Amino acid sequence: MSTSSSSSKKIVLKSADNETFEIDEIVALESQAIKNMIEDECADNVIPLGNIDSKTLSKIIEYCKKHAESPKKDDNADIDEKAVEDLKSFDAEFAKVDMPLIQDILMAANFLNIDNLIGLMCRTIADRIKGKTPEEIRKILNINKNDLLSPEQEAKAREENSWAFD
Amino acid sequence: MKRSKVSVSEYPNNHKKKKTNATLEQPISDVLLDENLLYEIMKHVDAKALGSASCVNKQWHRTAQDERLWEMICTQHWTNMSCGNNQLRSVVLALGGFRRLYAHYLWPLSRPSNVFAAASRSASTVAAAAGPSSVWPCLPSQCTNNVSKPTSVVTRWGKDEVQLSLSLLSIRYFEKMSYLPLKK
Repeated sequence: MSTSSSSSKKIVLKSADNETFEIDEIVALESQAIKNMIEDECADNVIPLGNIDSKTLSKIIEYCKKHAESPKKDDNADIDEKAVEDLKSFDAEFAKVDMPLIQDILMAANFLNIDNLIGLMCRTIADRIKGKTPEEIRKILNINKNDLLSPEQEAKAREENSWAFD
Repeated sequence: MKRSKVSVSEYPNNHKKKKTNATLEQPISDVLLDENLLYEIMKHVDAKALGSASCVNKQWHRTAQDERLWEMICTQHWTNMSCGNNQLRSVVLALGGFRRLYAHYLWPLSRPSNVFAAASRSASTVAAAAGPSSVWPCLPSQCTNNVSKPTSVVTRWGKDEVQLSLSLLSIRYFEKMSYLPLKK
């Protein structure tokens, strides 16, 4: 990774497709799950993430790096307004990816327990389904067709929510 | 997991289950099978999208029925209430819930256009589903003025609107109550 100060401890993450990522420990600590592993000293040198592919993992690391190096909100009250704005625009840019990747990131962030990232992905999905019909939502999110409401149930649901459709 | 009805094969050869683990071919939308994540997403949508979301499939329907979501939607427009949230919640839930409260009374109120037109228009759609309930046309005039004054989409509801909508909700509840035995 970039500016590696020689003193900082490194963590290696291994994706499902066997790609390894060496990152600073401080970056890995953005993940509550990894943090717990490290604190409990049950993390080996290499942490295998068998359900996260390298494309998703590299996005997640990008996010964690940025957030690890930004000042935390609760550190002190008078943090730079600019830093907050900067982080906001980073998040906005970060979320500009296609829906399958967003869902992969969400699933991985949920697994790794990265609260901010879960929130960001949920808000992104929410934004993308605003103003959409049920059919459009199904298509956008590639919703499993096995779980559809029966025609009667759907008619009833639509009637109950008819106010939302005009 | 699946117990056969034939007793001989009650424990069918443990290792020869033809059920292979299908872990690697998850459809994309699997992440949304997590009810908690779906709930998190729905926390961020507006009322219209939540109504639409509840028609997507069974799981979405279930999740979108959650009264806590509708409570957030109802109360986000409310300025300070005279009673505590818990008190309000128990009253609304007892009288039919926040989803109903929103669909029947707050939605017509929240429309940016003229409240009368909105109310009568949606009264016809709501009435179709909900039976005879005159929604907002009967508003006292000072209340209507409050509402129609701001043309912005974000409407703040004051105490009067909230209390009146709660009253209407309770009237509707008691109306339904007396209808039920008659139908039988």
